[in-house]
Amino acid sequence: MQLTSDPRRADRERRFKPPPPTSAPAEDLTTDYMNILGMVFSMCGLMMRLKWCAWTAVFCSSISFANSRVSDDTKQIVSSFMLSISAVVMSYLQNPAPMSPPWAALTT
Amino acid sequence: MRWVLLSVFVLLCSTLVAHAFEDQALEDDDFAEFEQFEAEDDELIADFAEDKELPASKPIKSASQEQFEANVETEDEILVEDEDNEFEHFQDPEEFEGFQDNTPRSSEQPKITISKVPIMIRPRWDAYWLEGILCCLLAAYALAYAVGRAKNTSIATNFLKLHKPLLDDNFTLVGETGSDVVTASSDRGWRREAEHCFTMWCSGRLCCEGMLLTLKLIKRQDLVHVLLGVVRPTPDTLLVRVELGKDDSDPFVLCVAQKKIATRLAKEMQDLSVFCPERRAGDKHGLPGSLCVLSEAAEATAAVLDARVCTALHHYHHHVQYIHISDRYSGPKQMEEAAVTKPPDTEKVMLISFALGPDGGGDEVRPLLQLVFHLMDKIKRLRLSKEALAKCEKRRQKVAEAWLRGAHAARQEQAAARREEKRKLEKERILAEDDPEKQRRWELKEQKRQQKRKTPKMKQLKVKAL
Repeated sequence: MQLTSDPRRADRERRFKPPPPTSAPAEDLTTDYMNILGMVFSMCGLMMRLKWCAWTAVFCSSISFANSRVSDDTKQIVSSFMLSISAVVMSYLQNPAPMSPPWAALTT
Repeated sequence: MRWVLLSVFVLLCSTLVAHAFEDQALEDDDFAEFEQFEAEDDELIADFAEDKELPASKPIKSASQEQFEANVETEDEILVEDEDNEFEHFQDPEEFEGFQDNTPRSSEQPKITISKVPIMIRPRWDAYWLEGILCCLLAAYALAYAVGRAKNTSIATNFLKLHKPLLDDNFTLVGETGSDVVTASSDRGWRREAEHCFTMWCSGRLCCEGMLLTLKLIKRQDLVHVLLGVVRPTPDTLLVRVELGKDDSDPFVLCVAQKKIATRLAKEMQDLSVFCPERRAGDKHGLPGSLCVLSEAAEATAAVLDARVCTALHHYHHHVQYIHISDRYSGPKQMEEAAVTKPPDTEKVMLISFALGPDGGGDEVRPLLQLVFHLMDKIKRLRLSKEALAKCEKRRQKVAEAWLRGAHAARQEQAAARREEKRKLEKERILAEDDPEKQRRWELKEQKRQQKRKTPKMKQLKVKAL
């Protein structure tokens, strides 16, 4: 499968044009889902003072950050992080008692 | 003279010192009364406390009671001159008649139980073990992110080191420049789309407008995906999108894919579902059994899948996920509403997906890239026979007509819906008005219109019956 002649043609150079969104392969929506989940858990953590919700929100924000694209909005990721961390801080300020594991409630 | 002055000075000093002593004495004397009073009070309170706390010791003390009372009396005599003693009744023995008899005479002290108060109000640090685990998990995630990102970047760099010379031999323009670009040696390289996704645009070659390479790696930066990958492993993939020029290929649609992927593509892709309804096993075209062929024109299939391509596919069929050549590529099927409004934009493209080996592939990538270049040249040279070309053109025309019919019907439906909506609004407006005469007139008009709508249909039926 060796090429015999030089196929390069400088006159056929084209600038990169991103493919239309309709023909692009299915986008990875993990970032968006995790962002939404993170916000929901943060709000639950803040409103209902559920510590495990606040911690879950932190993990969701982390996953969202790790999967984000370069073109994604940085503000959204930062705000998601801030919200989840503030949920953790607020829940421990209101009640500094340690979090009890879910199985502790079942045994007692 | 000196002596006189000295004596005067000494006299002055002595008078000043004497005056100062006098003042001090005066100051002390000012509160002398109160001091005396306080001392007296303390004594009384001490006596009272002794009496109260130790009732059993009272009889012992009673022996010296007379002497004590005598002292108190003498003190009273002194104090009576100043003011009335309000604590006098404590010393009066008649005040406490029968007191000693009533109080329980027990030598035991009342038992006081002191409950234990916890000294540490805050829980100890080891109570926060769950939080500790969560923090460790977060730290592990951050560490995995850094390691995975570095690994993916090194795979992209390695790819450039190994295969950029081949790309440079085929294209005049290879890679991107800029700030967020992953490069190996030159200033051009991969553009980072995400931590696991890199793209590179190559252009300036015969038989195509350009080629977009997308290196879609495993999400090594995400610990969750890494763990999921242990359960269901997914490979690193290299997506090649070759944009063909207007005259670079004849109109046909062809897809060679792994069986599972072929089923999915046939369902999802607009062009494959329309032009290639039949799915055939790869054995019939001299390909490995794991591959499937979706073809519009048998002639084109035979021409593209020549002996060299078949040999290459036999060798590397594990790495080839799909090869999709289309002149009417419009991506996945659109939603009904969107498809109605305007015809889908189509492109002439060749899409190829390769599953790379572990750690971003190695030697197998070079022959696969050569296969891509070979296919490009092949498609450019390929010319369908007149019959096959006519058939393909006819098919495209039919599809276009069908789409127009569908679009026309959809437009009519939309227009009918709009008319209905308008009529509803008008009816509401009329009903809201107070004038009954106007309402009656509108109802008559509406009735007439309904009758008129029904009448032509009857006429048409009559014509058909004749």
